[in-house]
Amino acid sequence: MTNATRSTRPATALVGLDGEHPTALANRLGLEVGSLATVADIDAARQQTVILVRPPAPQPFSSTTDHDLEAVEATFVAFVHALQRATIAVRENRESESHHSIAILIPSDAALGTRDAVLPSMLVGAVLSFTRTMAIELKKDAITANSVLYGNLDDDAEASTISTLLETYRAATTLTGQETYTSSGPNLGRIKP
Amino acid sequence: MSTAHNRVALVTGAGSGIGRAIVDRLADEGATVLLTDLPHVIDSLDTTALPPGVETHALDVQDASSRATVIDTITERHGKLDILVNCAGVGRDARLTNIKDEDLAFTLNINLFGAFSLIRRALPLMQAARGGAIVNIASRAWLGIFGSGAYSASKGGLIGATRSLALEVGELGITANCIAPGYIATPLSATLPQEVLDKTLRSIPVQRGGVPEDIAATVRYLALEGSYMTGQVLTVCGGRSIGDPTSR
Repeated sequence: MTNATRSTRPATALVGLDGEHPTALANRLGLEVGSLATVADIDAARQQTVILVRPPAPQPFSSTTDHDLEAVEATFVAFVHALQRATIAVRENRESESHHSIAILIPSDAALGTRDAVLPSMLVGAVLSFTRTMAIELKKDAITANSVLYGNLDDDAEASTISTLLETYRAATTLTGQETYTSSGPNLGRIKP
Repeated sequence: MSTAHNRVALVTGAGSGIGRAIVDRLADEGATVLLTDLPHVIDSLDTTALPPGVETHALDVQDASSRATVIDTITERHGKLDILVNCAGVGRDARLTNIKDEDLAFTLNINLFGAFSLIRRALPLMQAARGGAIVNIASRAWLGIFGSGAYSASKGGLIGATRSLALEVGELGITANCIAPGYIATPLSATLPQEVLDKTLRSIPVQRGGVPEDIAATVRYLALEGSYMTGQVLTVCGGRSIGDPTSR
């Protein structure tokens, strides 16, 4: 990957899963035009891959079905595919000197646990643990993997905080495997997952 | 009278290892215990060696009809369920880019979705018991572990879901907790390469590997004494989770 090629691409690829195109979020985060990407678009020309994981809507656990579990599985598999794609892209361009940042956006309420959110918490718990494992595995590839646990992506102040955090992840080569809550400390006074 | 007298327990993946130790421990306390595992495992058991109060049933946790059959059996024979221990688990190690979709599905279906599908079916029986204890056997791998992404995710999903479940069923008198074992000497862990095993044992602060009875004792506490504890993860790993898990 040449510097000339790198300069033609936005620094960050924002990837939605399950066909989602988070245009409004890209704007709110102040990402460059062209930052929205599908899993297939992920390449090493970007410095960062941001994956937005949307859990299913809350509902009482007793009213869920095996079909709902299959939907959780589908989203999780799509998430794994995005990570695989980013990793393969980086490995195929090893001449690149800079590190690659992977950041995962997941909702803090599902991570911390809420009533009627068994399936959202299931998905987010799986994503959190998988990201921890990837942070360990991908160190040797100079890929960092961090989780951002958001509260409300429509809130301007929080979006600004996340934008700053993503910028930090892009620049910080030694920051990996960390989990940051961006909505005024919803985890305070609680045992973290 | 025994602590668990008149209590009915269901343990999955109980043909050997941790699950079997849990069955033995709960049976020793006086519970009626349904020892469940895959049909070929159940068929191979020496039932004469089982403690009193243990019933054996075939159960494939990833099969909906199999889950329904076991729950129906409990309903007919006992009318309630007090203790559910989800212990069935598998692991197929692979680093990120080598993880295949079918391996991911296999691991998640047994370790995570099968467990929660069974919980959903069992909840009415636990309500019939006017409360009870759900204990999900997770793993220290939920904290992250090299080369086991699918396994780690399945256990992280188990822990995440258990937190929200605890908030939902607490008012029913049902507790839901996880146990996260570290290295435990079982048939599954015996498949680890010797080099990995040696390194693992060196990283355990208490200077020994765990045994299934360590986990069984923790299940016993949660199931029989821990009615004020819910939504928690008890990490039973000889201290490896607070030290450097990769240290030699």
